[in-house]
Amino acid sequence: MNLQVVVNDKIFKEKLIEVKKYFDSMMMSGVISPMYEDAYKPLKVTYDVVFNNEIMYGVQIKTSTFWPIKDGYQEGDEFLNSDIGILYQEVIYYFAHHYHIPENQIGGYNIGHNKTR
Amino acid sequence: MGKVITSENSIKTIDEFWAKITINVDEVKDAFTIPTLKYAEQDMILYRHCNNGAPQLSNWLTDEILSTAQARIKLALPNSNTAERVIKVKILKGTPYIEGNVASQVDNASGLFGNYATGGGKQFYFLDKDKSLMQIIEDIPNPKSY
Repeated sequence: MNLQVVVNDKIFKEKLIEVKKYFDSMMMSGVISPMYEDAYKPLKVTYDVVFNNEIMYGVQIKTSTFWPIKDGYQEGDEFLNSDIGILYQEVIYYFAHHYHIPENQIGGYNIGHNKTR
Repeated sequence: MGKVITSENSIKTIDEFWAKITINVDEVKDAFTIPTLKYAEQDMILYRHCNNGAPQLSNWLTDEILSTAQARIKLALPNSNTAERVIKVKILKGTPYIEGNVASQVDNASGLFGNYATGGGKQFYFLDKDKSLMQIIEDIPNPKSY
């Protein structure tokens, strides 16, 4: 499986749900490693902004959220190169670069760019 | 003098360097304020600050040993990186790299960084293929644990 550039919101949301379900199933089945805990944090923010109308504190999720996983954990590279890791990267990448927060959130990184959504 | 890396002549511009990063090049660009392409004019000694359980080698290095607290601030390390370990590595003459100041990650909403991660230190980024050529000199507890 290779990293694909997600091309639209519909595909992005489908992939986001798939990754979230994967992480949720891990959480439900018991203990997860610190690496998975770290990987889950930006995913949770993304999911909550997209589906739960959450306010995002901070300016944005950057794609630089990948390197703490790769650099900080022995299993980081293996995870990011796995099928679920690639799906995870596609989702975070799309959110970081293309997703615009709804207009009802005053502030945020996309000030002045709301019209694109 | 160390072995001369042949890639010295194969990368002429910073765009050519970025092009060698096959995945998530934006994450590398995001981490610098003003990145500059350079080559090791002679063998260099650099340092990695990391937590226990992290891999010994990294694409990211700096040129001095920082205290645990200063490393987390100046290198904008993620929450999980306590900088309790320092790995001293030798970079061979001729190796291309990106040098620049660390960009702040304070506004990174991922939850992986804290407000301390303001950056401002100096960092060096190496390509994957050159990471595998780094020579580990020492892997020690951070002597500046404060």
